[in-house]
Amino acid sequence: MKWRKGGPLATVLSWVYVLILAAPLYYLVVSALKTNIEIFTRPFSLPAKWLWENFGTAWETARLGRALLNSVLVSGVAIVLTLLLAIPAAYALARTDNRLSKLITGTFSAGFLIPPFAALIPTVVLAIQTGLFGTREFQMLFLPASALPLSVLLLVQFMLTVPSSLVESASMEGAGHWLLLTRVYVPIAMPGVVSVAILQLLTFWNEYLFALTITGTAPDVRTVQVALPTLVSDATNLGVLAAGTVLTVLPVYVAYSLLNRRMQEALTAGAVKG
Amino acid sequence: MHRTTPRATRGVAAFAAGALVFALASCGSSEEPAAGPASAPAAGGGSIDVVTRWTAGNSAAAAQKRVFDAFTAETGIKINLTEGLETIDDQVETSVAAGKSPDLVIVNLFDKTIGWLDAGVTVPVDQYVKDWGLEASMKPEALDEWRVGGVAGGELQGLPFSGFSWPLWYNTELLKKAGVAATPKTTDELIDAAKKLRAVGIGPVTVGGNDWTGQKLFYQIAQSYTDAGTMQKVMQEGGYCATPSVQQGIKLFTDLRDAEVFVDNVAGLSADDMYASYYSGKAAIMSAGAWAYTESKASGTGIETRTELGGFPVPSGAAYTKPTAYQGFTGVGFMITKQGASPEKIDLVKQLVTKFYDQPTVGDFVKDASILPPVTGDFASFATDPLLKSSLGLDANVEYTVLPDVWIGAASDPITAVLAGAYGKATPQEICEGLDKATQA
Repeated sequence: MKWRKGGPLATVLSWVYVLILAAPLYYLVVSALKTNIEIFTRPFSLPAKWLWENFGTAWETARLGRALLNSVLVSGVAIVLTLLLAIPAAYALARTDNRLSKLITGTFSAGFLIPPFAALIPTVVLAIQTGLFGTREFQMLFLPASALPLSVLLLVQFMLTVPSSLVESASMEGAGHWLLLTRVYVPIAMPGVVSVAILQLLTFWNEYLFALTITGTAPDVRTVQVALPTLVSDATNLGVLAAGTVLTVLPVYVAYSLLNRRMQEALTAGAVKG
Repeated sequence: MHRTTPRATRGVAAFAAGALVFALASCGSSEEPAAGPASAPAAGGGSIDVVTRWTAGNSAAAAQKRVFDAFTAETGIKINLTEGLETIDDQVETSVAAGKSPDLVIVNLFDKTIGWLDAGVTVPVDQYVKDWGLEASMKPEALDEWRVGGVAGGELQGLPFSGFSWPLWYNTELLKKAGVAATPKTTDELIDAAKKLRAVGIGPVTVGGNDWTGQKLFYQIAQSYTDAGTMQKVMQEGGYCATPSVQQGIKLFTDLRDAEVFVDNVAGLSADDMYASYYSGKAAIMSAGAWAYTESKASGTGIETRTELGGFPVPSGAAYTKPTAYQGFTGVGFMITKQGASPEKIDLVKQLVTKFYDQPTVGDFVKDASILPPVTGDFASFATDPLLKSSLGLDANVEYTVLPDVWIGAASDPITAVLAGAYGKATPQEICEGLDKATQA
């Protein structure tokens, strides 16, 4: 086997990097199959006895099934809303080059300056005033609002890469805004759309503070991130907690894998088109 | 008490909840309880909204569920249960501010819940205890701990339910292996035992140096030379540096720390580390309460058969003649909100709360969660856990010190942060100054 230039060192460093990334995942998974004692006394070794029942205990005790459904529902609706709002907004901003568009882009950028914690109190008040406190619906509406600044700015950058000659020729053939958006801009900016989808989906799935404070811990509405801490007690069974964590991470991993593959396909397609 | 490590989120949520209550109070909306979706009466006997500290992972959760199931079956009253996490106090305050107050909160008396009566979140329950026929059976000391100021005559903030003993756990097998013939009764004996244990590779006293377990053990040691009344005053108002006997106790703590009585890196340990290292035989001594009796048996290590319960050794010249431990009833109790006290709800709340105080129900909690009953009665047949049985004889061997929870109140979290440093390298002066600052902030 031949090493490429700088190969051995790069290969070794790559494997070290992989191991560094894999170590916490390995620790989480093996901990999910152990007792507390084993987790503390033999943290990185394989379980002496594989406690598969930890997964069942976590599932039933924290009622993770309902919580996972709630998380899927909230994240799914929120991501659809985010894309439905961000894509047209980005299209409009990418196609317009005047003071107003710069002002609107600047306004979106200002969204980054507001830390989430600072928005907590007004958001709670808003939830109360709209009568949506303690509901999943508020999260579905609030999450897209919080995700819009980054989503729009990212998509604008992707849409600015669309060749103007392509847009002009499509326009000359009679394509209106809708056709331009759906047939020209979105396909070419698809890597950006998928990137935004992955990024925001992870953010929505992992959101804890607002879900806890506004949606709350009632079993019928709580998300999986809020359900998981119910496994914590004065003497937590850490194996069960780790098993519960694995169960909450799995859907995200699957979604990421699917979307990531889609992004790679989109990137490749873009390269061919270019 | 009964707290896991606070998170950064807790601080943010606490701030948010406090600010929210203030903001909405100024709008005049927090006083009026509004019926939310969860408050809608069920078909039949109505419903009660309950927030509980006994979450699914808690050893008392199963007994609690049995009570709720039986109650609903008997009365037709539906229980809308919400589990309170570490931020249960903030959760309840936010719900109240949002006009979706629960009717009943099952929670321990600590930190912010101590201020709920003053803040108007909950109502005094003195009259309910009398009217509901509970006064005769309730232990007076249990009631007093739930009164404002922790003294007889103060308003009753809630109904105590989950009492606890909080002794030192000694692994007699490890002590014997190290050549320690008997559990240490004085601090000199403890230092000697720690040296012997370390010599054979066993950790001495393990505790969560950066959480509530470390906080409690610190106070247990720091009050060695101080009478209860003075200690309560200092805990409540500060004056750690200005009170010589307390300063002497803090010095005792640092002396023990420097004599390596605690396990290595104790400042970075949590309660879970403590349990694991004790159950696995890596450490010979820990300080843990009654809630861990059933957990220790469930660990499957047989540790409960090798454990002798006792007190923390006392120094010469101490205010106590026997080793010390904690005992209290501030574990978990019932706090009734304004919503719960409303005419349409209070009878439902009465039925549920009195159901908990049935002798068989209390016995069920004794059996499952090793609680110290708040009511008089014979619960010996329910005390099947060997450590719980053993703890019933603690009174003869230990003296009980002042549990800080009620007295330090909302300063609990900042104090724990100061004490993580105490388990590290902080000097007595730095510790007392930190405690004064945290108390008076």
